[in-house]
Amino acid sequence: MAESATALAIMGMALVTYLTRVGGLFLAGRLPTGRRWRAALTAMPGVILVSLVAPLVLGAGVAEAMGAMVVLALARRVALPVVVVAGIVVVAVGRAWLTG
Amino acid sequence: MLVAVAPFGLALGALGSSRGLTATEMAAMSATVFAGAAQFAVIDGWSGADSAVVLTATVTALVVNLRHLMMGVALASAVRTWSPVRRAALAFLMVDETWALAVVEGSRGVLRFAWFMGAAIPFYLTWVGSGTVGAVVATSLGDPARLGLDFTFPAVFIVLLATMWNRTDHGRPWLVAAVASVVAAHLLPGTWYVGCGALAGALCAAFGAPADAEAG
Repeated sequence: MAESATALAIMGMALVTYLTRVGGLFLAGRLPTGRRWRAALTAMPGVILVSLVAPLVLGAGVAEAMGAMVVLALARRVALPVVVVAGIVVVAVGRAWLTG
Repeated sequence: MLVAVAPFGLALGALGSSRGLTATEMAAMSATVFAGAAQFAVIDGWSGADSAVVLTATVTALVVNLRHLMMGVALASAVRTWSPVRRAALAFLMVDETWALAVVEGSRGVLRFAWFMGAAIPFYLTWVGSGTVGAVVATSLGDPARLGLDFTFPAVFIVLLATMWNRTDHGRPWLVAAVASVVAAHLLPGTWYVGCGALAGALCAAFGAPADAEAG
């Protein structure tokens, strides 16, 4: 039956997605605690965030790179919504301009 | 962030509708899976409701979401005093965006359960709501990328990185992570680049420690 395949697909997606989310949280306490492990785990939040963002701004195109530079320049000077809107405007204008 | 997530929920709903999924099915998927990248990947390749789609969808969701394992490990110390039920609830709502907010809040001091839920639940409701509405409306909604809205999350992430940047030992691991993730994004499909970049950066932090720390 068609609908049951869709329901099973959604349940499968939900199950594995939740396992990836809950797994790290509960397994972290069982990881080794050596000096190198501590250094790696301490660095983890920053390097994950860098890895999320770097391909989106560095490998993406000129407009994205310009937007990223504007955001970086403003980041610690003005409020977050202002920074984000400035970045979006730069990227939108950049894309419109670059694609003619 | 709420304003930015809505167009993608709408676009996802419209895409799902064009692939033959009903609004109820889109709502159920967004509410139980709650993972934008995985849902886009699955729905884009949706071949219709047959038995093959069950395995394809499950494996795709697993591969796209494997990065959550590392994100959970990174967030674990901030929530180690929470009860298991609260940690399980956080896990359900842990997407890239809410994870980033939580990890920065945790690095500033204490991450409170109510604070996280206050940030994550509106995000969740917006995602489910916009995905459902998109499937109902399903007309030509236009491309969010044309307006630059897809740049919202990179912009927020850059600001979060700028606020985290306060220690000199961030430099090399972050550079390594950036290079590795950009290279991986060109070579590998999906979101493998997050795991590759993070792993490279973490290895750099573990084995690239300053010489004086090595001696001591």
